[in-house]
Amino acid sequence: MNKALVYKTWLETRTRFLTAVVVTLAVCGFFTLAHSWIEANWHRDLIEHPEYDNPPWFLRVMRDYPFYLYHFVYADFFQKIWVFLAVLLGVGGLSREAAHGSAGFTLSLPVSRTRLFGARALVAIAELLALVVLSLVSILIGSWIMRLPYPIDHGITHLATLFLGGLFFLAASLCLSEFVEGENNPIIIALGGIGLLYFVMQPYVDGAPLDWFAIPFAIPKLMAGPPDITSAADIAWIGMLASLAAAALLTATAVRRTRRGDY
Amino acid sequence: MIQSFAIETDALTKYYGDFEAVRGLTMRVPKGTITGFLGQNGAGKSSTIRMLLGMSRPTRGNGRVLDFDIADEKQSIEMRKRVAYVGEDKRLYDYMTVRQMIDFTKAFYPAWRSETEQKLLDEFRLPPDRSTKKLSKGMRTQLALLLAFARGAELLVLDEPTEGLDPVMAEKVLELVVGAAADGATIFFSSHQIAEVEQIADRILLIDRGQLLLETTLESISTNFRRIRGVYESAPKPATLAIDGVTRIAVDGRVVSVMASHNSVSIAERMRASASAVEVMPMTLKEIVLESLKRDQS
Amino acid sequence: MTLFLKPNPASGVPIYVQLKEQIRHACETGALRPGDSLPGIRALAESMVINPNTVARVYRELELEGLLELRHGVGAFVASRGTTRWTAARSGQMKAAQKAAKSFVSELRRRGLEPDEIRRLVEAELATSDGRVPLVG
Repeated sequence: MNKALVYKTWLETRTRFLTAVVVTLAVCGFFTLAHSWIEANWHRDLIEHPEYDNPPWFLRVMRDYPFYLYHFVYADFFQKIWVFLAVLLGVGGLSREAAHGSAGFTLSLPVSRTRLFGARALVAIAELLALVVLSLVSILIGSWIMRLPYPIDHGITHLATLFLGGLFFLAASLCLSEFVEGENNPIIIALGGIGLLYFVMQPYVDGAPLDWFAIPFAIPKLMAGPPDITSAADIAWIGMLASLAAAALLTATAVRRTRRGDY
Repeated sequence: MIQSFAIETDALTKYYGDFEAVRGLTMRVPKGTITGFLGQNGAGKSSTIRMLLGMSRPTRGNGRVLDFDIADEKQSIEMRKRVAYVGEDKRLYDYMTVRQMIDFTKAFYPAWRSETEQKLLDEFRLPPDRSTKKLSKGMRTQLALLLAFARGAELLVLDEPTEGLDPVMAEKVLELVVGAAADGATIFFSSHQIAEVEQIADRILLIDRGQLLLETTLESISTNFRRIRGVYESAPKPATLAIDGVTRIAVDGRVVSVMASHNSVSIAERMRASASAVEVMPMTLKEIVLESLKRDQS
Repeated sequence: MTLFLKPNPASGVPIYVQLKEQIRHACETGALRPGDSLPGIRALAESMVINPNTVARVYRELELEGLLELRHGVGAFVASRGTTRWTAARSGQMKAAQKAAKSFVSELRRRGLEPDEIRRLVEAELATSDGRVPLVG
């Protein structure tokens, strides 16, 4: 019975998940395989356009490969995509089924609503984990192909923070799906929220020191972590645990809502 | 004598915001019967069914299905192991094929009947590998019914089971319903096809604007319900016709028409005292339903 | 199954009465003979697409009337004892009833009544009585 629920959720999210896989492989693959091409362009710009304003991370990114990956994958560009993917995987649930018309069938099954939610959450977390593993694998393989030495612990540590932070967005998506009706509305609203978050946090991501009022919203920095960390001990666990606690709270809210809702 | 009921409700009420969809509904469906649930669209049929099956919470009142309390989640889950539901929205999972839907549903019901599954798959000519998204409405209904009948359920709750089906398939569905009843299941189905209800039901429940208007057996309809008409010289006072059994009085010029649920002999006699040409006529289910749904005639 | 026709729910005659009439008619015409088995309740209900409780009731009532024998666990059979007598008496009754109906209808037609008016009169008369048919024999 649980197997059947998990199988159902898998079939339901399969297309989304495979899209996410393609996006992940494409982005991570691009940044590794296109590294020399990107670097060549930068060198040319430095020579031909000395008037260009260079961002603070520019010089280091050019000569330090792990930092290059840190900047483009873990801290900035891919992180934003990652967050969107986490939200995408969390969409679903009874509200969505109600919009589609199959809620009656699902709710007439001899299964508790908690279990229905649990299957959904489980599959989403597993899919997120799979994506993170795929990122690592594609980065390692891409770097190896390009003969760019890359310490594996750097990758593991940063992808771990990305995963743990991603759980927060996943939980937010699971929760939002229970409150918002319609098949696509949760995604639209989530995108709006994330856009706002990153807009506000961008200066800090770029390197400005954290103001006190920005701390609760500092999850993008939390997911990026300091650039050079290579082990679990270096992770900002206090912040990470706070984020996981928030995720747990959102999940509990979602469960409560699904249990009490009228369909 | 212990009567066992498949469904019983006591003052079941449901508010959606300010709107009272179901008002103090008290009804009983005996086990082993086929009950037709009649009412116009928006009368509260689906709201009632949703409460019975645990999809929405009653605002007030309580109910039991197969002796399980509908408001208790654990009991509701136990109950659902023995109940098959086909809703008005016969949509299933877009992302599954016919075969996948069957295998998925099968996993939840230990009493699943594979022979019924195979028989219906053949009779309905459902292509196992087609996505449910690509099925016509009629085929979707058939698949939903297959999933219901193969469950080996004690109670079948069917909302418009023959909707969208051609006459041959509709008759086939009624045949399946009757077969399930012969196996001991209780059937509770709502339908706009009064002819179907007359054909197979033991009892009917008529609901209008959230309230129960009529709860009776088909037999009572043929033996007790009567239309009694008389020609009056001058319009009688309604009080004179307020006799036990009179449910509706309609006046049209000099003709007074009374619908009686029983006691027609005494009512006719009373009318003969002051009216001429008093006729007593049987009523069809359709006439009774339409008459009952007419807004205030007194 | 071609032995029995599907009843017409809209005919004004209750389904169980129609079914009873069909079974009696089958016995009278010899389509069913003493000792013949009738379809099981489930099978008959399914083929006629009517309520199984209705079939059960018809079988019970016909057993009380002596036309059928219900053998527990086996099924319903046309009663062998006294059926010939019963059928003969019954078909005698039917013949006499047919004659009465013929003279009744032609009398009313002679008085100028239309077929629909005659039908309404008869229905009203039946509806006024308490609806129960006296058991035969």
